[in-house]
Amino acid sequence: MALLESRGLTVSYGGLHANDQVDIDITEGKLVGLIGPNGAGKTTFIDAITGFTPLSAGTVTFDGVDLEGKSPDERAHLGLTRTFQSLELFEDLTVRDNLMAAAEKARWNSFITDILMPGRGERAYQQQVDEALDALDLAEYADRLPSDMSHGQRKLIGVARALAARPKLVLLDEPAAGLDTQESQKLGFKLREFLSSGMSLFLIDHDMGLVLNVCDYIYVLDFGRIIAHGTPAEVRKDPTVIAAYLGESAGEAQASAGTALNIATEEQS
Amino acid sequence: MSVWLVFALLGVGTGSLYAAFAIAIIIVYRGSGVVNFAVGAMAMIPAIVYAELRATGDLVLPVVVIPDRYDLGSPWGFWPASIAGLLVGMVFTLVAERLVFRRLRGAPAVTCLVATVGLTVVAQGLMVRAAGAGTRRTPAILPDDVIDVFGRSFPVDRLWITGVVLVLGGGIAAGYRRTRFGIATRAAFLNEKGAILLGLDPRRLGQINWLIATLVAGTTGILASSLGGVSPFNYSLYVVPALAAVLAARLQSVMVAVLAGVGIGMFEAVTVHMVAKGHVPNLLQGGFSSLVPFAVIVVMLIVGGRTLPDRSFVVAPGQRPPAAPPRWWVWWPVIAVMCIMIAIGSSPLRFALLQTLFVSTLLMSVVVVTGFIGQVSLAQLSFAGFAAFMLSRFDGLGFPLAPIMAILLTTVVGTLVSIPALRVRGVLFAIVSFSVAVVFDEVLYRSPTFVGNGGLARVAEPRLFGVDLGIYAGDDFPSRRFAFLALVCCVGCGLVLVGLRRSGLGRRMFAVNSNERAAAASGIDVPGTKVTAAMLASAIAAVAGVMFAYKAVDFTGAGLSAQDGLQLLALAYIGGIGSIGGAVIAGCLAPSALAGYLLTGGGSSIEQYLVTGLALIIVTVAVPGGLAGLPDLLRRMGQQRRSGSLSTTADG
Repeated sequence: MALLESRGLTVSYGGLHANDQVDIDITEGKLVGLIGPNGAGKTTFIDAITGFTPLSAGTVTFDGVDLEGKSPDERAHLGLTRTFQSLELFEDLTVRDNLMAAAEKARWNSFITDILMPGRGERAYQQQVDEALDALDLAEYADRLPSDMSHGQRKLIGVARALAARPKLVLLDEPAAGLDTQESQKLGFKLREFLSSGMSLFLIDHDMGLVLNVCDYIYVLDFGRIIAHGTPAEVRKDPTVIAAYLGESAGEAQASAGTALNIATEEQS
Repeated sequence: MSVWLVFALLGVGTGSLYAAFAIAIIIVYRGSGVVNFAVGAMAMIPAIVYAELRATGDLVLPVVVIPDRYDLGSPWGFWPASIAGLLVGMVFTLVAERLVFRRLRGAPAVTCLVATVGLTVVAQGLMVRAAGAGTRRTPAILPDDVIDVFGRSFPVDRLWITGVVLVLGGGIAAGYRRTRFGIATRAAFLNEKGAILLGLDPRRLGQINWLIATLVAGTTGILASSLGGVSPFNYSLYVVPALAAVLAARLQSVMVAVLAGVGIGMFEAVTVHMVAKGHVPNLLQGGFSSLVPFAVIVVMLIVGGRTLPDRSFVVAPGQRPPAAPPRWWVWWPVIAVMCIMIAIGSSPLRFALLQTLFVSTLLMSVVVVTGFIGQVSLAQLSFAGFAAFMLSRFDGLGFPLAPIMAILLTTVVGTLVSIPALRVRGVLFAIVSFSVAVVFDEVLYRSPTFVGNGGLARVAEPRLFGVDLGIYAGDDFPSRRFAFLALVCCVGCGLVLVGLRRSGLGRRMFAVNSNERAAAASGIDVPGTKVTAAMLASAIAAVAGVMFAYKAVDFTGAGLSAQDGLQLLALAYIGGIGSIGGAVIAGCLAPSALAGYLLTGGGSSIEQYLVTGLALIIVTVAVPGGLAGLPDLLRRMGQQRRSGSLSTTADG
């Protein structure tokens, strides 16, 4: 059984199906990708999985638990976190506190202990946060405010925040958008590293080079429906995918650029 | 049945005033994005100018420095006097728009709202100086015959004013829908940048809308001065029902606001009759009718909270408590000086210090709401008052237990009251908390049943292990022991905030304040965190309330009203909203507190009130961090200048 399974997941706005009967499996320890043209419903899918958008039909199970009726924060506690396309960082907190806020698990009595004994019981989380900071090379910026940092670094803070709680599955919504090619490649290597630490990842991105290279398995979404799925090699050759998304020569060029990178990744691992 | 109808009809007069104010609020909101608490003041200035001209022929002006009263001979007639009144009102509005609201374009909606509070205070202060605080009635303007309705006499002027307001509302609604100006205003409201690209000038549109709103409010103010009279303060009380009507109209439709305003007035009149008939439990007899607008506001927020338009951000950067730990090198001397004041200070100095400690503690509860969660609450003083009255109720339990019970109960009530408001943010939260303050003030603090002892609450001196800790202990009033106790409480609340800032809970509050979506995605329970903040804020307000009660010993609702709450928020902004330092500075600046004692020898005057309003406006426009943020602001400006001069030398 996969870590996360969506079955017949449908999200409708009026008569429009933003997601229509989407079945996706995210296997434990794998990096699964979701690609599709603009407006295909990719972010809607993440919103639906994480509880920000109500389902019109279908089910989502995570780690054997039916997610129906669970709020976003309850899902996060189950080990399902996400990043946002538009970052949505806590701009008033330092980078470290951004991560701390996500890492700490509040209990019913924590408001009393927090006020009477601030700082107590933080050590365990400190370590988690340090690991996440190190993983994304953010340790030296830990005490800065996000607003003082570059766009690329802010992207990494978003990813680090999602990792800080040691989740089982992280849903990444276009983490490479706005990064240059080099930064994007670096991020790709990082993502492969996280998998080896027992985490599973789900990636949405426009950077075909990144998606085709780092993912183990890819779903292709168009007009809210899954039109293809398979390994990167299979998807790259799939005629429906080429027609829907890669069709233009630019897409093919990206795809072949991806092949070159892919070899590099395999050599690395 | 017919009796109820007559009473409902009697309410249309007041309801029409609500409706007219609601129209003015909507016009300003659509024209410049400001939720205008000053609408009452905008109606009051023309009305008082008019009333003075008609009664004495003197022209009074809301000004300082130059004379504010000019003898223009014998009393004036209706038309010249009302035109003069409206002109004065429009000039006042023009100046305010030019100096304040134009600079606040793009500022958080709550900052603009606070500026309108400042404007209200300034207008009231100026008019009290110019014309006195009394209520004056003007000769009848509308036909004032009395007709017979279901066998009861009914003054027909109420229907006339309703007619005037309905015509006004209809005309304005049509005007904004049909004319080029109305369409331009809507365009600029919906998309300011787009409107600029189309060649419209949103600032000019905003200015004209402010003037139209002044005309609407002023005309109504003049008409109403012949019905119930006008004083510098009474029209400001109509703001809450008017806001309820505005919310019912979703800050949009003028006609819906008019109907809602009239409806609220009718229901209020019916509830007054219910009280007279004894249909209402004794406890609620104080101001049962004020529950009507409150109910409308709460229902509107519950039904449509999320769909009401609002600008999401509340507090501007630079207004938040600094991430740095507290500067102990500042705080130790401050606490030491306070200890010295208690030990060797004179009696009036100690009394001023007690007032400072009370206000500082109370404003620390505002720090929790505003600084951590990013909401602006106008109800904290009401929670303090609730705790004070509860303390007098629990007095029989003895010292440590009675205040503890009072604080616990207040915390529960404060939290429960805050829950409906959790759905909304920003300026809507401010509105709902203000209506809570009005309800507490009108319904509870004026109800002899609630206050007890025939309207005067009393608490016994606190006493622990046989030691009298009360304000009357020993020979010296106020007693030094009590002052130390108050200082300990105030410092304790401050330490709680310091601890909160460093704790996980504080981080979660900041996270929720920063970005609710991301907070939820990070596993933070957003409603739970907000409730916790409301709980903590109510508890600190309750501590302040207990201090208030032990300080006063005998007290009524005086000093706990919704208007006092507005003035407190003004002080909090001047001191620096959202920081402990700001709370303490505001505590010093409060009426009858340290700054007043040291500078003017104590007491509170209309000049102080006026200066508070002016300072508030200056702070909102120029110093978003308040006085507490001034050092940081100066440092940043200094750095900019230095780096600027460096770059020029590099260029040269």
